[in-house]
Amino acid sequence: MITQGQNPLLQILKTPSLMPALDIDGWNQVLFEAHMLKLRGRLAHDAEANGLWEKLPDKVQMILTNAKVETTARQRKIMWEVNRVRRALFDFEDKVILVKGAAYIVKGLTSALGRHSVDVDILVARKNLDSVENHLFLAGYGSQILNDYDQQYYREWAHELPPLLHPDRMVEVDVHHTILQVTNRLSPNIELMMAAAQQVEDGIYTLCDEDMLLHSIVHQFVDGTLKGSLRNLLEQHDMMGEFSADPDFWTRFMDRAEIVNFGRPVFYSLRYCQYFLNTSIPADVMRRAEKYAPGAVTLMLMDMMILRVMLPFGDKRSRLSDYLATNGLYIRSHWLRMPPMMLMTHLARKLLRRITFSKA
Amino acid sequence: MNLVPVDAKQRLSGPGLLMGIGPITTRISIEFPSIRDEFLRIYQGYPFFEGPEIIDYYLDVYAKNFFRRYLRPQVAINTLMRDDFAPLPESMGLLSVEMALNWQVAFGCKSHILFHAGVVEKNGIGVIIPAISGSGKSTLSAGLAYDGWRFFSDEFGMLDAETGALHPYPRPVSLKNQSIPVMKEWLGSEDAFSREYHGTPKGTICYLRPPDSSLENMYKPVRPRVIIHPVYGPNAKSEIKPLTETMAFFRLVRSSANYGDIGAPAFHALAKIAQNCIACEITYSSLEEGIRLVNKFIDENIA
Amino acid sequence: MVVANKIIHLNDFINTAVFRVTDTACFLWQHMDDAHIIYDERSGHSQALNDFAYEILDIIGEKPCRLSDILATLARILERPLEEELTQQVFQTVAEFDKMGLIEPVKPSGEVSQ
Repeated sequence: MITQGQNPLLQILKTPSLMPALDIDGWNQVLFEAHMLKLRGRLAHDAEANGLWEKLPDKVQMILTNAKVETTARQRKIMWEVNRVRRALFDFEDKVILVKGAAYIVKGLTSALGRHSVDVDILVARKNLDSVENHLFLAGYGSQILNDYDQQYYREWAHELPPLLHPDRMVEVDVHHTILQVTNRLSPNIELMMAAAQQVEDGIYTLCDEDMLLHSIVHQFVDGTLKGSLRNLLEQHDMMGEFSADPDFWTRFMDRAEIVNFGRPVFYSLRYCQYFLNTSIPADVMRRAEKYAPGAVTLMLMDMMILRVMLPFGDKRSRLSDYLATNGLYIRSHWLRMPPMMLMTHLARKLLRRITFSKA
Repeated sequence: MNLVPVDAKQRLSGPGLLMGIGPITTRISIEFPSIRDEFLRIYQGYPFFEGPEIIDYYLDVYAKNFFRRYLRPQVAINTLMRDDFAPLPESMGLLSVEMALNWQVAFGCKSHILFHAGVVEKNGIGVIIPAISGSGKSTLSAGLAYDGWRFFSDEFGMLDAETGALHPYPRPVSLKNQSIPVMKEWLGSEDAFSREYHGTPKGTICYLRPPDSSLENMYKPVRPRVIIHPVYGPNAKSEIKPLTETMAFFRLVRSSANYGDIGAPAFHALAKIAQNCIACEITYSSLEEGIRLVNKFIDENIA
Repeated sequence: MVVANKIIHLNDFINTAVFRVTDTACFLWQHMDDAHIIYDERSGHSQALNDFAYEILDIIGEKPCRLSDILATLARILERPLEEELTQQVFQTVAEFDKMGLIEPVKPSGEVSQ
């Protein structure tokens, strides 16, 4: 039974077998929210995996087919781009590590199933950036056109080259040398992570399990914007479930989080995965993470903000309150990212550019 | 199941009107009364549902603020699908609606193979008319539709890869510039036409309703048997040029927005069509001549 | 200068590299009246191959080989030495296959490209 008063999409994500219980209005709400959160591909996968497809109304099958074809197509494009990057780096000897969506896909993780991914993200040692960039240029990749300020920002402060694109395929390739911007107060020990990276096949590496999960958490709670990132929480939930089949995983994970100083974002991830998705987390792991909890007031504010931004409201046009909530979080992650002085300049320039473009 | 016009108008201005065309159900709301009227006129007789229905796409046509609603009226569109439309003045509102509906299908539909093509049917024979814009496919499709053929579409051919059948998606035909007087003459009356929109980025545009009989049969699919590439030129010599299977195949691929996304099933479906259909390119200098060539090619090649 | 270097680099590469077809199972075929159409499931690309190109892909698909091996096999099949023009065509075809990703270079030790 679909419980009244609780978000139906969340219920369906936790318990796919509830799908046949949805009525037409229920389906419209679920499909609408799933569209906004890029989770339709996930629903399509869940329906098939749980033998529910035939029980769905024809129209729902059609809509989920759209999503399934789209996510499959995107994953194919990503895997092919990885193939082409490998080809471009044919005589490059050092480690090339896939991160984020491309890594989940290559490893066939649960978090890849029905996942909407767009770019290819690779991680290389900082000393190799120029060499990798040259290899890619030789193979026909071009840098996105950016003004000089952004080029400088990327190279000096961010942790990646400006995005590269091959004109034949137009799939964005992001080359990183760390997983947090260099200016961040919590700069991770990237050499540790690169050394621990594991070969998947034919010279393609991915981060080890605990680093992969850490990266997703950091990307969501520290690096990126939090609006509508239920799917990132979902991917963390998936990884926790899959990786914890190894009895040593949690210990390794928490050890790692402490060594690289990510206790706080890990606390948030565990807390919100449990709250939204009923993720099963051993009590002693939660206790260990709670040591990194913020003060009571900060936590309350964070809870309030997260609650409002994880799921969109019913209305399809954004409201002022949404805007404020998400902007609060965007500023928050930028504050963590750059020293305060640089922050003001950067934000001012971004705002100016947005105004200029909208006039065009 | 169908709403009476008074209810349709009320839904359109408020909670949203549910419209079904072929396989697609859209919920539309329009804030401007003038655009509502034009919309209801051109879509008169189309399936409007009482509800509830499962919705494929949402379309919101609104004004961003008081200024844009009353002082310098301008149409804003929300398709929920990352569209990038430059806002048009209220007087061209119907164009915005049509562009948005096209965008949603072109971008969102992956359940059927889409062709940028006209499609018509007669005697159980489906004809695909793929072409780049400006080649005359809309005019030819419309001309055939008002010459005894059943109209499926002038923009979006929809093919079910599994069954190999074409499904109708009969939206109003979008006619441009010279095609407008040609079609008005062909029909002999202006009733089925919208008003003309001048000064659009593409020149003058006018919409033509498909024949009622085509709308009444919009849920009946057909197998494709013929592919015709139209090349209209005011001084062109009439000619029918047969195409090889490979040429037919690649032209179909090139005309399909979602072939790449659908992948292997689309590869097999289009190869099958190329192998089992007769295909040609026709050049002609008048609508009448174009229709004559279409009939000639089919009569001479299909028993 | 960079462009010229690029071209020389590519020429040397095609001439010396060992190529192979990763997995023929990824190729779907449709044989039309005048061409063979190949669909590569990994890239989603469709391409028309004439008999000549089809033959060359078949040779590489059989076992990893160099350009010189392909030329030798063709000479054997045709029972005559190959003209310059034909050799050029083979070169272009192999370069094109590499560009489309239908074939890929193999590391000399036998490992696949990194």
